[in-house]
Amino acid sequence: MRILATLDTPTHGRAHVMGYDVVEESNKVRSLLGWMPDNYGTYENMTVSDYLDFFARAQGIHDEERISRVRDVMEFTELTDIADRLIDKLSKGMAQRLCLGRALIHDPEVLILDEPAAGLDPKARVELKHLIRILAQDGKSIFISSHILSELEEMCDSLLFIDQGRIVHHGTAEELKRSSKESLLVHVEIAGDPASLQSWTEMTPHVEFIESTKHGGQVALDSAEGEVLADTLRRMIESGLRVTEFKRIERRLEDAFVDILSRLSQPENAEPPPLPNNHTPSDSKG
Amino acid sequence: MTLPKDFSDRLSPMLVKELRQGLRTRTFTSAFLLLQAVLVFTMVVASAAGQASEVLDGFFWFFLGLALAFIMPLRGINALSREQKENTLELVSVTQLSAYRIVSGKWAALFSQSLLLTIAVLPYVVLRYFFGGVNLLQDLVGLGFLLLISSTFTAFAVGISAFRSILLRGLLFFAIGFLVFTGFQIIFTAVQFGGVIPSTLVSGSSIILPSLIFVFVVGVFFTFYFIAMGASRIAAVSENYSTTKRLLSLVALILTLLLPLIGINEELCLGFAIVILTPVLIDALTEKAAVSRIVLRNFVNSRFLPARAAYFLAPGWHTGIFYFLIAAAIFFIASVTFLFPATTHEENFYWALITYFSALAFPMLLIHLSRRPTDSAFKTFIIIQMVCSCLTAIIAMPTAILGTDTFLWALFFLPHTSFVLLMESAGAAPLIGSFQAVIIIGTVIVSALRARPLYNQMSSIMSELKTNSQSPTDNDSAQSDSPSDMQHSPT
Repeated sequence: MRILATLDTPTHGRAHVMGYDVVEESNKVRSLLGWMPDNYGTYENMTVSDYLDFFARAQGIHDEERISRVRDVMEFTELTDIADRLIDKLSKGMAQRLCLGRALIHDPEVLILDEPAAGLDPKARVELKHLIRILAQDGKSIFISSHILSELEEMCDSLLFIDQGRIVHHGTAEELKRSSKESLLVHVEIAGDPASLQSWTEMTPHVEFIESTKHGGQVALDSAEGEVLADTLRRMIESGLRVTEFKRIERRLEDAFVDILSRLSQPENAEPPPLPNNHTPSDSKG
Repeated sequence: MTLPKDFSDRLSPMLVKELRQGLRTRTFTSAFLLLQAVLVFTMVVASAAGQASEVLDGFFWFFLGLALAFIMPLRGINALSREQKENTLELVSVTQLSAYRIVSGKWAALFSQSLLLTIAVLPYVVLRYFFGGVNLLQDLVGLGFLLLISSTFTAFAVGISAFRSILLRGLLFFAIGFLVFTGFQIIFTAVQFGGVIPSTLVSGSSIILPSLIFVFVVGVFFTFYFIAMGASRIAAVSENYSTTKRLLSLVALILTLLLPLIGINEELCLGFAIVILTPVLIDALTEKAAVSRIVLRNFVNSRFLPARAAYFLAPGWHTGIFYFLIAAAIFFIASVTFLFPATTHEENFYWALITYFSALAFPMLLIHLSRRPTDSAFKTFIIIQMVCSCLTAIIAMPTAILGTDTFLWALFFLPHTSFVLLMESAGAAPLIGSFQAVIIIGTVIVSALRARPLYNQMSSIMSELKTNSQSPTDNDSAQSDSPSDMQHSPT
């Protein structure tokens, strides 16, 4: 991300943002790019409006356009009411909105956000996600790095997972969940003794009992095919289990990611899946 | 909502930011008010005692000198390192501001505050005039001289603030600051001003105006140079400040060496040339090495410079070593041919010149021989210089006490010790000087060998760029497999 933001120089290979080389055409890249790092400092004795005004000037925005941009960005990030407040006195959520505002001051085509929600309280997190969604709807390419995968699932169209410097998955959240494991988890509740469900799974091939619950338990099916799911329910009923609830459990992104990592750690699966040809890191969102 | 409209768009963004911040700090306001209070109080007391002119004069120059030549520049010593430490520099780096505009903005903010202070004390200059015994022209020249020192010293403080080590910055500020101040004083007084700066301005000597111009040019040159030095330390590899720095320094060196033609003393010119050359060569020899396609493309496409000039003008120590050779050659040739021809000067003088260049080269020889990473070469360079100076001082003590140079010979290989030996043992000068010449040659060879991968990289990129520029069908940005901009990692 730092290479894409023109801050670091690649030791191998090349990186492009919207077709521009990040090293050779760094000025052009900077004019197209908004960068929001995970860890950044603030200035002393500087107000919110001064801060945005400084970065607007630094981006070469002049006169009325500068004033108008600062005003628009403050309205968008809901900072207008605290325009005269010193920036080193802002809460984490406000500071994060200010940093987003700074990254947006020159209306960039591409945004790179490094851990944008880290350290935010739930309310600030929701507000930030809301802003990011609006920006995505406006047609901006947003590149987000995060360790909180559930957030990525909510915000991103495309995900790129990197483990120890290599790409282990590239695609949508659904694709990741589907590709991580062939099995399917089902939550089952029955009337009567819950232990009978476990006994049934022990006698039934391709079904594994995972854990018990108050009225039944979770079972894993070998295949995620819809027919297998229907057959399993039919067989339960035919075996005399009085099923009161039979529900597919959505896999969490974290679990899917861990599954992929554990699969790749086995020697026979050491090679990660190839990247789709129609994607390059510079145009992916996630 | 208040939107700031206080500063023009024409001003540097960094200057606007720094001024807004600076004017809000208590330091500036307190210093400003305190200075006013002290001057008013002094004026009242001195006036009551009937000695207003003399007392005010002393206070005026002391406080103004302290503020302009020390306190205000000192505020710049953390300018860039604080931004680096607090992760604010990166945010500015991804804007359209170049490294030079960032550093010059920092300098301009501090210097404009110095100007503000100067303007604030101007009423007291007029009052002193009212009390009598004051030459207004002398005062204005003195004030200009102080501002020039302030400008140069502020640029120096801001330039070295790119170094992360506070110890190094502090050491350089006080050591070099002293030299800068003394250097200006020497330059100013030595050109026959007769001692105290303003007192002989109206002496009627024809040398005064050229000398004033020379002092002004030197001040402006160093102000630019130190700002560019700071900029090149924080710049991306595609930003090149070294070429301008080195070319300007060469021009300054040549002009200085030609000054005797307008009647200025040769020894003085030699001193000026050394003052100019020393920081320039240290900077060139210790710059971080990087090979940038975009920098080399400018050389290949340049109408004014041959492409091969990149080998001594492109950024980095690997080109700095050739720049060092060229500057040393110019200096030496000028000295031998017309500044100090052999007919008028002792042979020892030439050996001393060689030893001067050897003293600059020696730390780089050690750095390259040890194959240490060269990213922090400047710091290591300063440490080696200090160690060599201390060792020489220690070993020179018994020499002075016992009156024998035997001890000095134990460290004759150190250029610093060689200087002392040249004075103590004039007969051994050829031996000592020859050894120092070997050190220079050794440094060049070892540096060039170590930089060979960088030269190969430069050569292949320039060949590729030339080929591309000769065939119009090829895309200029045709790319090789290797990265075009690669920072050198020697280990």
